[in-house]
Amino acid sequence: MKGAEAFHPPSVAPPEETWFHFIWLLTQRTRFPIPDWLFISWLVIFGLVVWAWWTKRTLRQLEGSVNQTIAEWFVEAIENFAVSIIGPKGHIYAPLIGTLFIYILLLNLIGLLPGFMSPSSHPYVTIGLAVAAITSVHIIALRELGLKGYLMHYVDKPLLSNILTAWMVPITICIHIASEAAKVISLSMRLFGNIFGEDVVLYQFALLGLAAYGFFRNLIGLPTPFQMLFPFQLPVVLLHILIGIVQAYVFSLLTGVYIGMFLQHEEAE
Amino acid sequence: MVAITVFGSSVALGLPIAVAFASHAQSRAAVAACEAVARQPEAAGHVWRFLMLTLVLIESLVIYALVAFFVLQGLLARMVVH
Repeated sequence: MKGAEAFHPPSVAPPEETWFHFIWLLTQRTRFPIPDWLFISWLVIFGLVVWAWWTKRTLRQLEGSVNQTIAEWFVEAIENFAVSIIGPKGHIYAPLIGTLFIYILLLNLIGLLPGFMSPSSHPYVTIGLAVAAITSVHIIALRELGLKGYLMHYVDKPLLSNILTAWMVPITICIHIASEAAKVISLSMRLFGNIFGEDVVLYQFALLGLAAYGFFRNLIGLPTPFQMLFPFQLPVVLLHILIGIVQAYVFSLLTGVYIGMFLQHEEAE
Repeated sequence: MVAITVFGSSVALGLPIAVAFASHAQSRAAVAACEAVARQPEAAGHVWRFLMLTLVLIESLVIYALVAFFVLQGLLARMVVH
């Protein structure tokens, strides 16, 4: 056995080349080459910012447009969602949760457009999102509880009341720190694994359709325009839409739950 | 060679075992949620949120197995090279 290359099969993943690959090629010689997934996530951010700016500019009290109705419905749904997870203070954190939801939803679904890819099928994007979400959870906890209350979260307070259980405090500190790291890992890996796996399935089913086309072309002589006669990937596209929505929902739900876990201490005291 | 075979097969089997037990647990959670909704359809929203939370927490354990799988796969590749 000479090298690991002999051991690994060729990758089953779809190629990461999109219509924006020329930017990667153009920026090769600079200090900061821009990969396709980064540029597409910037496109999503730009689109969202433009949409929000335009919706805010065209706000009207009476006879609002369809766009305004959609935006109001979205804001109201997110506020209700945040209040139902976090509690009465939830509406303060609704912008964070709603931004995460709509951004991740668009990152997941933009891969279905031809010439694009889902940036969330790249681990760097999801790790960055998870780190941002958990960091904002901790900043919110520091602001709400104060430094003392925040540190007391790591020391389970009921343990301190009894001398028999006080020796467990160093163990609980270790467990809490490990669980904070595990939150980042599980948030990022869940999003990455779901979207990447779905992309692989889509790609392989499309290849299967092409293989079936080749088989029938050799059998009965199908002409070239029937290349996509067997769209086996169509049911998987529906599953991809469902999973994209569910994963965006789960990411924002978990961010809200983590905020709620910190704020529960405040209510208990 | 024997060490590589044993290590390789255990790397290959770890994730499927985790997935098997986790899918069993997830199916039980889904069954309980379906029964609850069938009994009280007006509580569907609350049940849906608790179901999601439960499924996600079960799934995160599988994700730890996946992370361990990636780590062990790297070790395996290094073992094969040497």
